[in-house]
This record gives sequence, C-alpha cells and structure tokens, in this order.
Amino acid sequence: MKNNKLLLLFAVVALAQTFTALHMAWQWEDTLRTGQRFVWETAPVDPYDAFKGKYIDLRFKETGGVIIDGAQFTYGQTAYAIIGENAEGKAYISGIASKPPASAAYVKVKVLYTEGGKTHVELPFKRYYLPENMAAPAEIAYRENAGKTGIAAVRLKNGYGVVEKVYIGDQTLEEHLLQSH
Amino acid sequence: MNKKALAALYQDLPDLVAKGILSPESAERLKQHYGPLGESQGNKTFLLVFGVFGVILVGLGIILLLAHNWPQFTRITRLAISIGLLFTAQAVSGLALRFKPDSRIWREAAATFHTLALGAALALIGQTYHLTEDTDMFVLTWMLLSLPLVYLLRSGSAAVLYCIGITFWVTNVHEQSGRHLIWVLYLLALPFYWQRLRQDRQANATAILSWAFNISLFISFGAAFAAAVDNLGLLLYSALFSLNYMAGMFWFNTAGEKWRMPFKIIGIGGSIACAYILTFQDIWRHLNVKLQNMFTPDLMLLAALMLLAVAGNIRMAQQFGRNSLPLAAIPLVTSAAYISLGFDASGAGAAVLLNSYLLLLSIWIIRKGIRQAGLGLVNLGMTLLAALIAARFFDANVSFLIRGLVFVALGAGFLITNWFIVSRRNTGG
Repeated sequence: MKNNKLLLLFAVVALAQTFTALHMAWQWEDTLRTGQRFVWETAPVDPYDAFKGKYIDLRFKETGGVIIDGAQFTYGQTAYAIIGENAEGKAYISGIASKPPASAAYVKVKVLYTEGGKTHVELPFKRYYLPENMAAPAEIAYRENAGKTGIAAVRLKNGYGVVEKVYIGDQTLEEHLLQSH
Repeated sequence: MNKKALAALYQDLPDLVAKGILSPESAERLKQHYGPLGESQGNKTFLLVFGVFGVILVGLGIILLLAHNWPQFTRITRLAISIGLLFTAQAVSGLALRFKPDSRIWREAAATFHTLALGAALALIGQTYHLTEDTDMFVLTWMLLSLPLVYLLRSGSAAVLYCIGITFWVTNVHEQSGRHLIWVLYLLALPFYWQRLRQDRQANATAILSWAFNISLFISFGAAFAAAVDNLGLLLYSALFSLNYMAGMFWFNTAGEKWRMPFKIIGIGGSIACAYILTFQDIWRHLNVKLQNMFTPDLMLLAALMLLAVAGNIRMAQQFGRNSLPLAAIPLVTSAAYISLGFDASGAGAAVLLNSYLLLLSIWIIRKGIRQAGLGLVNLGMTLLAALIAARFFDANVSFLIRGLVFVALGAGFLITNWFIVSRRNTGG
C-alpha cells in the first residue's frame, strides 16, 4: 500500500520532469518557427574572452537604446528592449521599457549600465553552440569577421529570442568553415 | 549503519534482551533489518560505493557525449534523445522503487543516474536552441525537478548532488537579492537530512552528506550575503564558523570517528583560519569598515550572528564548563579587534590583540592536548604556534618595536608554558 503511494508520487514527479523538458523544447521551437526574424550585426570580440570550447560567444553592435517610459534601472534588473529594423534591414533597439510593449517585437533583457542617455543591456541570445571540432575554427572565423560581415539571424517571440543561424558574408558559419577547410 | 556501530549494537543485544529492555523478537527483527555482521556488510558497502561511482561516471559520460554536439542530429532527433534518456532514467528509478525498494544499492544508483540524466536531457535542449542567459535557471530547474528523487528513493547521493547543484546555482545568480532563495532550497532538503541524522547518524552516507551540506552552506552564505561579506567579511565568517563549531559541540558530539561530524572540524578550522588572517596588520589597514548607519542589513546580520554567538558561548560554559570557551570565543575577540579600529585606524592594536589571542589559544590547545594525551590536539596547537611565529617573522609591515615585543612575548610564553607543563608533570608524577 505504502509502496503504491510512493509509486504514484513518483509518477507525478516523472510527469513533471517530462512536461518541463517538453515545454522548454516547445517554447523555443515555437519561437524559432513562428517568431519574427531579425538580423543583428555582430561586434568584434575580445579574443581572450571569447573562446569557450563548444560554443562561441556572440557580441552585438546594437546593445543600447533610450528608456521610453521614464523608468529607472539598476544593474542586473530585468527590462524589455523593443526591437526595430533600420533602413539596411538590420535590427536595433528602438527603446527600453519596464513593461513589455503591446504590439512591437521585444526581448527580455538584463540592464547593464546607462551612459550618455543610452541604456545598455545584455541580450539573452549570446551563445551559438557548435560541434566540438568546429568551435575553435569558428571562433577564429567569427572574430576575424565580426563587425565587418558577421551577422546573426535571431527569431523573437513573446520576449524570447533564439539564434537561428550565424552568417559570415552570405554563407552560414558552418558553410564558411567547410569551405575554408 | 557503519560496521563498528553495528558490531557494538550486536554485542549489546544479548544484554538488552536479558535485562528485558528488548524482547527476543525485537532483537531478532533488528538483526534481520541490519543483516549479518562481517564480510557481507563490507561487500555491500563496496558494492554501494562503486555502484554509485560507476553510475556517476556513466552519467557524466553521457553528458559529455551529448556536449560534443553531433552535427548529424536534427532538432527532432535531439529532442527524441533527450526525452528517451529521461524515460530510461525514469524507468530505472521506477523499477527500483517498485521491485527493489529495500535495496540501498538500487535506490542510490537509480537516483544518481536519474538526477544526472535529467540534467543531460535539459542541457541537450539548451544546446539545441543556443540558450545562454539561463545557466542559473537551468540548474535551478534541474535541482527542483530532481529533489523529489532524494525523498522518494531515500538517496543520500542524490542529496549530495542537490547540495552541489544549489551551491553552483547561488554562485551564478545575476541578481543579488534573488540569491536568498537559497535558504528555501536548503529548507526543502532539510527534512531528509534531519531524518538521516536521526535514523543513521553514524553511517558513511550521512557523514558525506554532512560534509557536503556544511561546505555548501559556507559558500552559499558568502554568495547570498556578498555585499555584507565585502564590508565585514572575516568577522561575519568568524561568527559563522564559531556557530558551526558550537552546533557541532551541542548536537553532533556523539562518540565515534571524528571525521563523521564535520561541524566541529570545519568550525574549528574556519574560526582559527579567520583569526589567523587577521593577525596580519596589513589586512586591518586595508579593511574599509563603514559604520555610519547602525541599521544597515549588514550590521543587522552581524548583530544577529553575534547574539547567537554570545548565547552559544553562555550555553557552552554551562554545558561544558569555562574550559570550553577559548575556542568558542573567537568571534567575540575578533569583534573587539574590529571595535578597536575606531580608536586606532592603523590596525596595530587589532593585530596585537589577535596575535596575543592566538598565542594564548595555541598554548591552551597544546596544554589541553598534553593533559588529555591527545597527540592531534598537541600538533594542532604546535602548528598554530609555528604558523604564528613564521608569519610575524616575515611580516615586514609591523614596526621593529612591535615585532620585537611580540617575539619576546611569544618566546616567554613558550618557555613559561613548557616550564609549567614539565613542572606539573613532575609534581604529578
């Protein structure tokens, strides 16, 4: 009897674990499939800090915007960055707010600092996982091209963002690496 | 239960039955519960240790294999692997719970594997979608989802993994105020730990859990109160270590091998280390204690810990006599030194106070060791004394005058102690 109760509880726990894993996957899959697509220009990276083994660290040119609702932010606080597209079709932060906007595309961010009227934030999508043997050459390729021709395609939905692909010029990072090998 | 304790229990059983404290049936049931003494017990322990270690290696291996990030896998394949791994782990745990609920080896190994597999499954999803920001969220989700396994499978190794996980979590949380959730996380695991202490205090698994819990607690404290620690660091830690030591004296002072009760060991080691660091005048000179406002959270925390330390000292004196106080009083001496900074900002006074105190403490420890013929204590005292002398000899920041005086005092103290012990021995002999 006691054992049956334990088994029942165990089943509940197992269900919760499975549900969490599936929910996580679904949320990101949905963002990737139906989210709005933005292309973000990457910035040059600090070569001593960027190499992380199995992923590369993405840095972006556009990481700041003006606060539009008069909110005061401190370091580490959560804020919402409203994302727009400039004339060249590249993403930029059109404003920072303390609450998510009703209609515009936005992403949930952590505030870093405010300088010269612009509030800089940490974008949540800053890693790009690669197969183990590709990470080191990718790091070099990305570093050499970041800020010049490097861009990251990101899908945004409900404040979440997923990196779809990283491009060097017209090629995806993976294609670029295969070719340069 | 550990072998020695079991041997002692079995030795006492006939006597307990003869005196009518236990019925012969209860004694028989006890024997059945713990199994035969001797080699089979040892074998079981080996099987358990290697079983758990084997499972940890397999689990970590799976995590590494998945971390390779196979380019051939599509997103749906990755999801299938992730969920498949989770189902396998759940099946193993479910089977252990259903068919082997009394086998510790099965329960521990299944819970350990399940915990690691759950982490691997969640990490694979994170890798697929390039998730970054949430290292802390990921670990928190993992730990909360694996905590029930600790209780359902009564697994000490899963509890140790939980301790490691939440410690990792608290040191990775971005927002300072969010770190205090750690106390709730400890609270969630406390009933299990409490139960282990009550049921099986002398067991190896309980001892390992005690160590993990204790070390984790100190790291978490540093992370959760980082701002306060920056300001009043060593004093706070000194109070905390001392409370740990006193908790060890009050509640974990059972006879047996000392390593099984880490509270006293970590408490003594930490308290002495804090005091030792503060014997350097340089440390005091660079301390930037801000005491403008009496009601900052830092000071409230310090006051609370200090009140507990004072209360602990009073209880120590009542329970173990005044002789137990020299070690327990470290935070009180340290706070006196902090207060002295108000009068002497150079820190010379504070450093002299700590030096004198540690000198007396080391002599007291040596003396106690000689009295009890405890070589460990004598060595601890001698090491402390030697460390103190070595530090002062090379400490160029203290003026020659103070150095000279401290050295004379040290030497005199050493001679007097020796003379005292020898003469006492002679008169005693």
